[in-house]
Amino acid sequence: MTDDIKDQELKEFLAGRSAVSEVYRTMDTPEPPPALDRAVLAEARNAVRSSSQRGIRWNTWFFSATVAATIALSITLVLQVTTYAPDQGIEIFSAETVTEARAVIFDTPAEARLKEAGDGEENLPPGREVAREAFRNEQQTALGRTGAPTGYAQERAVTEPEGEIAKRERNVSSVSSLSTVSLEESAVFEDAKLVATPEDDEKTGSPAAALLATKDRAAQLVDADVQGLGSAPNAAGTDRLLTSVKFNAGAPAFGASVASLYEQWPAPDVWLAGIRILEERGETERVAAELKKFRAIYPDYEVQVEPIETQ
Amino acid sequence: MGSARPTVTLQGEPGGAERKSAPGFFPGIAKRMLGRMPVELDDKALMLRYRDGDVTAFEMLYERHRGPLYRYLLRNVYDTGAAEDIFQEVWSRIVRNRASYRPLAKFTTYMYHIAHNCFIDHCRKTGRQPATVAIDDESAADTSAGTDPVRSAAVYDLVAQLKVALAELPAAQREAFLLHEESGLSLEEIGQAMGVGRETVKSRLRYALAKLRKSLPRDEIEFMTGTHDDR
Repeated sequence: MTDDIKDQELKEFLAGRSAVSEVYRTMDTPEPPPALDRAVLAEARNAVRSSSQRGIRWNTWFFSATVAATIALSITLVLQVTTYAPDQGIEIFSAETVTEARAVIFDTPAEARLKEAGDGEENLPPGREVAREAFRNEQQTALGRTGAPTGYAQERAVTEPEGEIAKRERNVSSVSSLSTVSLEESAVFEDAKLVATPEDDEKTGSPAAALLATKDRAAQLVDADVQGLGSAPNAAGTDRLLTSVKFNAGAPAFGASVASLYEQWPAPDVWLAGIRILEERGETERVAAELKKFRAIYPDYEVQVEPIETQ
Repeated sequence: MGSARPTVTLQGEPGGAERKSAPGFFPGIAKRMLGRMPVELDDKALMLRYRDGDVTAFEMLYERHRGPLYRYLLRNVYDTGAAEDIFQEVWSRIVRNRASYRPLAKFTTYMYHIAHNCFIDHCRKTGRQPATVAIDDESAADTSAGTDPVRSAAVYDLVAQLKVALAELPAAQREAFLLHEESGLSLEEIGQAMGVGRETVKSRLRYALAKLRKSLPRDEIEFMTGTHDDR
């Protein structure tokens, strides 16, 4: 019975008809003081304002970052385009490149280049014949030589730091898969000495000291001849050659040329231009050989010369 | 109704009951807000609008709930200063947590749940149970309701006795009673606000009503309400 009364009371209370509720509603209705109202509303406004300012600050930061990223990307893109645009194919070679390529594949490149430079036949050093001979040998053997000279390793150990030796050996080994030139043989060639002999002095009428002035050119000729399509060696390469190679008549000159082959590959565009010229001449075997070498040296370079390969 | 006060029907409010707008509180602002915003906007919609940066929505929301919340707190702690502190803390939490507000339940349930937690925190902080009797904190009754001096005196006595009885209730029973009286929450909603089950709330309310009823003289109730109670 008591529970029933309580339930009835509860129902009336929940319905708002309870006597207790009626008395309660006659109580006064205190309100929060106005200062409290102002404080609460000010806090609510400030919270919204500060969150919007945070948004503005973030937007400002984001805008700056976006501009900076855009500029950086643009610069990178421009640099990429500038760097790689000439590599898009061999059809966009400049006239200078083609001229240089034509020069380096000339049958007698040494003579051609000397003539271009205004030098006469009489100024050719005795080593010119050596270079020509080396070039012929290279063409005939396609870099296939065996029976390297001995004794080179001791000299290299004395004259070169170990790191340099390792670097060169790596270069040579990367090429040796293409040619039959062994690692040992290549290194020997590099260290071959070219020495001016008294016979040379007699031929030229110049002392050995005067001959030194022509060493640079002679070395370049050797390089160009041996590489066949090789570019003119750069200044640094030439200097290095002059300091380490002595001019000498005989077979070792070929070795020196082969060594420089590994250090001074032609620029890819020049090389490709030369290949194109060979293709135009119909020297398909040589084109194939050069392409093979080219791809070994510049594996990442895109070559758009598919017709050449199919020939 | 015979009252000069404007009334606004609020959706989402307990039982769709008509509630008096706070007299004299931001009359200009309220007028502007009511003119700009449809009054049908319920509490959830207002809170969502405030979450999106609409301060006016918050002002409306605040105006709706400031009085009941304040009284709920005041009659729980019986200390004006503490009630004001807790009141401000409740609204601060609502403001701070506006970004994470999800309209899963009624806004009043959400708000009184925060208020309940703040009240519990206050009790723990002060290390005491809510004050027992502090009738002097409030004037005894709204005597403007009637003009009959005898009736006014009777109402005054009843209200005074109810306040004493209310203050003597256990805190949980008093809180349940106040949550229904001030905010009109149902049993389930009171349970959500207090973190207890429906049956627990029902039990608390039963005990609270029995004690309050017992504290009030029956004849005075009949005289005041003009009804005869057999119980």
